[in-house]
Amino acid sequence: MIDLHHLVVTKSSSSSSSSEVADLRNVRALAVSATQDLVAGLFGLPVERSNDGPIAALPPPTTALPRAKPCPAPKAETKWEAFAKSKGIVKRKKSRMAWDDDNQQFAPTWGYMRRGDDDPPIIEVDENDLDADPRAERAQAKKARVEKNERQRVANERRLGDKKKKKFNCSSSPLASDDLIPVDVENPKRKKRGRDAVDAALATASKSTASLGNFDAKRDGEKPLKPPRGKKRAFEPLVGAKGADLERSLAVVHDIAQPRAKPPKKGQQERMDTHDFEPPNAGDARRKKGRAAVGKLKKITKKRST
Amino acid sequence: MTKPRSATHDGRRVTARGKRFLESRAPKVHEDAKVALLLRGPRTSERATAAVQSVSQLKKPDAVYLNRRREVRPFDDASSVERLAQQYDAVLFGIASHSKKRPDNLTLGRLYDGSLLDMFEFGVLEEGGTLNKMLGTKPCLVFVGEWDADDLTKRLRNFFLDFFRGADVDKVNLAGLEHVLVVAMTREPAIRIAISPNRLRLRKSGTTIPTVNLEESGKPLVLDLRRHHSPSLDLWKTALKQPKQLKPKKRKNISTTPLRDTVGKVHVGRQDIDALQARKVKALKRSHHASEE
Repeated sequence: MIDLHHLVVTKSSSSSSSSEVADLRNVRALAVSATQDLVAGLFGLPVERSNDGPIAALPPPTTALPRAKPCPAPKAETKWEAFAKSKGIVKRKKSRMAWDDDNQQFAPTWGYMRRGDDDPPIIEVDENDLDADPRAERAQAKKARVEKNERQRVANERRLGDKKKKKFNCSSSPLASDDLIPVDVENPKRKKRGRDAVDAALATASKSTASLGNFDAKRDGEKPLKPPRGKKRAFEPLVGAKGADLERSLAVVHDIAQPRAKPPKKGQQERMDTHDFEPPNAGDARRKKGRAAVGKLKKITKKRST
Repeated sequence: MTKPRSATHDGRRVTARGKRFLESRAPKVHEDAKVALLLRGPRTSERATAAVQSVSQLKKPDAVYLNRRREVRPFDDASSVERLAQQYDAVLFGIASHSKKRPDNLTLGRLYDGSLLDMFEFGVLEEGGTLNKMLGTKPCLVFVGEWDADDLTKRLRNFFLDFFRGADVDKVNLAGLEHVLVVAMTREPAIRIAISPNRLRLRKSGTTIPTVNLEESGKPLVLDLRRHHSPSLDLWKTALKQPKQLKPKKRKNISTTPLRDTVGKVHVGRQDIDALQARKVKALKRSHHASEE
């Protein structure tokens, strides 16, 4: 039994009585032959040349091993992400620099020195409200925005924390139990090759000889080959009844003179393969109209415009 | 002055460095090699200590060996081992201990998600020794004996494979294969296991497959099985679950015949006959009169 993915091979000792670990010579011979099997498997894999040596691509594992930690949970959506998804809002990338029309130059879209964020030395105030401090108001508004964002972030994380998976409940002080559970947990979804597939493979293999399996030795109890499916070519007799040859030839001549029109297949265009410019299958309701019915001929012959 | 905003991890406020640390320990899709934590129990014998040290040698560089004696008795209470393992982000553990009832004892086990999965207790017959190997090479594991006989031996093989296999890789350098761990077992009268490190020698054979020769690269570690603990079926099934990203993708239009030949179906789009380049013949050229105006 070999699992090339994990570079592991198992070899059972042939005779159970002499399988003593102390008998290292026996184990050694088995180990060498098992390693030879493993190396043969590894050198049969597709390789990629490199300066350090041939690099073999390992197949997927056949032995199931437990993970160290559970599978990582997908990142939970924030409230806005969930809303945007339901509304079909797609995030668009903003460019870092944008044209500032007022200053006639490029300026950052956000951050320091951003577009439209000039701090004028003098700000006009409404004369009814002379106590107002526009700079303080601006700072206040900014602070409120930051606080709101922080509140939302915390709320998102609280919700995310609730949804997090709980740790597997397992007692931390176990007793040494002798009841074992099987290591290989069967996957019911895995398909097996099945008896029919094996039979089909055997039938194909037994027919794949030079004589198509006719002259191969059969084993005891082996079923005879099934006769091949499909028609065999039948040849006309060399000598037949009087006039049969003539009849056959006349039929061919008749076919040339008056070909039998075949109804077009699905999706196939009608062909003008009859005489006298009579369309074939005139009774067919699915006749095409317009350009398709006329065919390609008209496309090529263009009238000369004067 | 506003305080600098700290990073968060799972709703906890941590420093950026702390966040990086926590992320390095968070579950990953592709897991790193399982790290083994090797300890000495409350009382140890020379032989048991040597055995746990030789396990550490075999497991290097994914091994942490702690020299101080600690109060750990995993068969009575696994929580102390679990706590220590969490501290070192270890998944496997090995504990040397010695008592009148169980002399020269070595306990090997593994954890899943920080809690005990399964463990085995052995009596040490031969303690192994120093090892001559290239650090970080992926070992080949060769199991010799009746390992498929029953569930216990199957589990033991699964355990030793998981313990020693190193990092999970998709590609391997065939010129770099050099460390072969032979794990031999007898079942009569009791389960006895010999783990012997070997150096792989490949010689030209005239074919594409080289001839194999094994050279001993260290003394064998011989163990007698004593007690064992196996997980509940639910826990085992949970531990085996793999993330979706690791499952092989469905391959469309590729089928396999009963003889295991791979057959591919290629879809060619509809051919544009008008644009087809036919033979260049003068007669087929578009007439000049049409374009002359």
